[in-house]
Amino acid sequence: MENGADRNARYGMVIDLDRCTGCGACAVACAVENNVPPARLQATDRTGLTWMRVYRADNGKAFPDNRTAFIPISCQHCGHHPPCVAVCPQNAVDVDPETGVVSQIPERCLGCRYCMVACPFHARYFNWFDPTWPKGMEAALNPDVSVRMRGVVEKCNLCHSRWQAAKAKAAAAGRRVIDPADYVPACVEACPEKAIAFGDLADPASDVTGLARSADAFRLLEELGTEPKMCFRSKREWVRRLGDTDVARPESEGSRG
Amino acid sequence: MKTNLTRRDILRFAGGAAAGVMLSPAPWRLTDDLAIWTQNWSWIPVPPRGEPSVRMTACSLCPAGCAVKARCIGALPVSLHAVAVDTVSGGALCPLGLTGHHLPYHPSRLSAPARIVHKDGTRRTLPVQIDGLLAEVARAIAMAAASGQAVAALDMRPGRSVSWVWRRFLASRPGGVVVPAPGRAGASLTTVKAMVPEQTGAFGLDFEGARAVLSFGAPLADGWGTPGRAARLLGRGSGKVHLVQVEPVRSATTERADRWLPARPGTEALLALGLGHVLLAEGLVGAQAAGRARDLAEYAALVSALSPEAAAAATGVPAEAITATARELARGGPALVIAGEDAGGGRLGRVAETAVWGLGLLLGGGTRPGGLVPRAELPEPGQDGPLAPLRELHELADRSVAVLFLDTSAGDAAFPWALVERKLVARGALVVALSPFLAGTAVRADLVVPTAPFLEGVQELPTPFDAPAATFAVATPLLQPRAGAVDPIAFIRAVGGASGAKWVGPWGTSEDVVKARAARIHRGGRGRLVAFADGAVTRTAEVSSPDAFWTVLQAGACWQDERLAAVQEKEFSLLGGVGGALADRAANANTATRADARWPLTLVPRGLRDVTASAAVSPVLTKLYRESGLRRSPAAALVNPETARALALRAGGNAVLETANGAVRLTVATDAGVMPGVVEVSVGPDASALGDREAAGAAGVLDICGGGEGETWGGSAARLAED
Amino acid sequence: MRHRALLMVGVGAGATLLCGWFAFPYAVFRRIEQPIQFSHKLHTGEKVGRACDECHTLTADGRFSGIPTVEKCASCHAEPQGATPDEKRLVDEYVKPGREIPWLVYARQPENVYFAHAPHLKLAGLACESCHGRHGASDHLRPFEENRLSSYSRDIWGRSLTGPRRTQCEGMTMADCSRCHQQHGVKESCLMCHK
Repeated sequence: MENGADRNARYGMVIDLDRCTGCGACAVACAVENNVPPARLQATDRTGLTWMRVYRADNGKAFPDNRTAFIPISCQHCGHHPPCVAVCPQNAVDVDPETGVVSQIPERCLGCRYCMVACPFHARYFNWFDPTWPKGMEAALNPDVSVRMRGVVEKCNLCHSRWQAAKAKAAAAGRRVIDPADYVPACVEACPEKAIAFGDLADPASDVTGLARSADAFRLLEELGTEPKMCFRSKREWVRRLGDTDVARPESEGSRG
Repeated sequence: MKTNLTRRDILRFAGGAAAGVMLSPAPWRLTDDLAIWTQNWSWIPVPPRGEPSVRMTACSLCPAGCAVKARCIGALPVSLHAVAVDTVSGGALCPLGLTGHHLPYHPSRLSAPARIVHKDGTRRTLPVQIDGLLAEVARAIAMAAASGQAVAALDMRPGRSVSWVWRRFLASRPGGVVVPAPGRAGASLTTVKAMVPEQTGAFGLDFEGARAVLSFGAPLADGWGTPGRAARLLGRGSGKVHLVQVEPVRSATTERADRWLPARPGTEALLALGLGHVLLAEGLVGAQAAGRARDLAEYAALVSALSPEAAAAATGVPAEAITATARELARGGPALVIAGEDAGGGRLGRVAETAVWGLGLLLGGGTRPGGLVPRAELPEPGQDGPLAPLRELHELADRSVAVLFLDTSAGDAAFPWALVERKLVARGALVVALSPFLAGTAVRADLVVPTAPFLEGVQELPTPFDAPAATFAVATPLLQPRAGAVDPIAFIRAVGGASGAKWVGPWGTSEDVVKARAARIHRGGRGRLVAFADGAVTRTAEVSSPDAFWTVLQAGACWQDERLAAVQEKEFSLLGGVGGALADRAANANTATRADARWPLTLVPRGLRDVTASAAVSPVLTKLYRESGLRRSPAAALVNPETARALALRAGGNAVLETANGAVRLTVATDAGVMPGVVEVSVGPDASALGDREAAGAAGVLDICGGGEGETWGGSAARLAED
Repeated sequence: MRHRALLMVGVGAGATLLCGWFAFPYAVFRRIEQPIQFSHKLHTGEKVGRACDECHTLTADGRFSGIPTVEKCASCHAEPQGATPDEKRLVDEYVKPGREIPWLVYARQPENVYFAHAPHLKLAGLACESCHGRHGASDHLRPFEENRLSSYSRDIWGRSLTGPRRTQCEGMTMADCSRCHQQHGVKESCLMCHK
């Protein structure tokens, strides 16, 4: 048995909020990788599908001392009693033992949206409509990820299709343990600032383990005790305090096109 | 026994049948099968199946030309990825590049030539045959020649081989002129070229050699220049640079800057002159630079009145910030000063640009590394011959152009159409657009010719404006071209043929002419090829033939020229011919802040290059505009909360934004990062760019901008009132 | 009276049992012939001598080629090699125009299922026959029995319509995969097999 073959991984991220410029490449790369359909004309920020969504927060000061931070939020992959797992009547959500990913399987979902209520991070999205792409654009869909139909909830799965591919690649070489370089989620790969560090939090040799324990690191809504595996870090005190509150002040309706 | 059936019999039969059915597999299998059937509706898209492969190409959606690795399934690209070894992109793609493979399927894509008819405020699209279109164009050109009116081409992506062919073609038309898109990134470099008249070739920007960067409005962190260079400059990795950003509204660049100077819109010249004052007053100007400045004495006289306090009063930037900035620039190592353009807001204007570039030259920016560097230009595709002149849009006489070609085949640009409209003759002007999409600037045309979009036709990536040395790459097509797409060169040739002119060269298609240019680059023997797939470097001199050179380029590679020596011996003019205008501004500095009671706000239109560089963007970009509040939509007017209170505006309420040029309905949003007295409106993408074909041509903020000097349109006086 | 009652119940039960056990399987599956008849036995036999993995390859990055593309056929069949009418159709209708053969894949799983051959072949050391039966030794392609409702093959559901599997390679439903995994102590999770 290879070293580590029996050890379960806990994949997580550390996002450096001082580097994030709010470009949105992560959100777009996620949509391309996971076949997330474009919004219809009447969609708003509450009815859209944004597995990775970048929120904007500011320090509340007046001009010109006003400063922004951008916070990319996807499923936080809670490590301890994820609220969505507890409430799902269909067992469509489970914590994957091998990777720690909170897996949302749309095929089992019946669309009750109880998990959306339960998720404190609003990281779950409902397919209000059947997905439509402009005619012909289906030829540009990713065959490694299934296309969901309406009536099911979907969310970030840490690009598990890439993990599956990494496992297959390792298996073809006779190995049971994947090469970390083969498993890079789309958002991590796309970030121009390399602000997202991804890795196995259970591996002491991984970058993320050290980053997650640094003094600047924080997690969202830690007091809820769900032990999210997504961490953030910032040297700015006001950004770190955002983890305890609503991330962004509510935008007024209609200020989007 | 009785043989006629009774009801009881039927009931017994049914009971037996029910029991039998339960004991047979039928209902259980039917339930399973129905469950599967109801989850596999025919209208749910099924991803393609096929052999996976990787192909290299370059992204031509903006002039930067980042390398792209396309993951293909059965030869159809399903995702685009950055190339780690690419020096242009620095290993990252922007949202436009990440979704470029969606563009060939965009709903606004044109499949046949069309005529656009504007009538009673509505817009209709009618099909038209290409032969009829060519005949009409030829007639219009002939009539223009007869009445002494001009034929012009508006080139949205100047510098390509196709751009050169436009100039060759229009050289034979009387009044033929080629106009590069107004407000394009790098346009301000024409100003500094005029200030260093002995400089041959072009100027590039040496980011890598600079230790301090002062940017007047150039959104370095928002896609200006070559995004990868900016990312490296702004601290990802090695080389921390001291960045000072001058902008009236908070942006990603001001967030990353070490110092933000929020100057009132329109006062950039005064700020630059004020910084110049500090440099001269504190003796921070190097002897070399001082020696090369022809008009130093006049400059000194001009800035003498602009003490930090006076500049502070005029611009709104605190005096101590001005002094500190000047000192940081002079003492912090090589300083690069940039007069930027905003992708939606356009240029600062020649006067302000002169003051800004002058500041940089004064800091030694043209005489040592870390500033402006000379670079050789790419050779043109063919032999020298007559070329139609290149003119900026504002240099054309009003009402002089009878036939206008809009070449948006390689990309689009954002600018107020009114600037073009006034150059067209009052009656009978014909505007012909070459565009893959019925969106963006092409919607303004009378006739539209469909061209191949990104990934379907060969596109060329000539040197981006900011590069320190010439570069050349080719965006290899990955998809079969669709029927109906017209090649721009074939079109120009057909127009020439229809109007009876001799064709200017041997090329029939864009690929021919780009290949010809590549062959001339190869013949020059300089520089090297860097392959995208593995970063392998081959010196041009080692490539045996032009065909081999072309093969390497097509497989995904970038040709990079050698850098020229950076030390310059050239003299320069600090006042660049606009000394009078600068003196006027300096003299009226204390009245610069007077606000007009009728127009209390200043309108600052802003754009991100990743969405203004293409008429159509992938509908997936709704993730950033519609499904989240990350990027401001063009339907929102952003004002400071103080301003909103003063004008009795409610966040989320409807309002009318009015300037002297018109009015447009928007929703109010408040943002404390916007300077009080300023209203910021995003220029794109509009609904048609995001896929709503019906919305093409709807009024946007650019329709009410204008009236600035030359071809600037930012900073219009405006008012915002509740609707 | 009682006889009559029993008779009616019996007739009812009998009718539906017959329908359910015999007519229903016949009706719910539609038999479709493969576009071209292909003999594995011929191609792996002495005359041609191809090994299995020459056409059904596992690449280094873990992808399994599945049924090869027509390019693979074209490498030998650019011109007809024999005299069968099927081969002539192969060359004329598919190889020459470069059209992919629309094989009906017996093992086709729904879109949301992810199956990787690599761990099964390399780590578990399974032979092809364990799941695909003696398909590799067949001399003709049997008709594809398509479920009219769900469009999946009878090979997925299992030849018999009742639960118990008679052979190991019968059925490729989730329950079948799961049973084998449990027997071999493989950790199970949704994400392992669903995409």
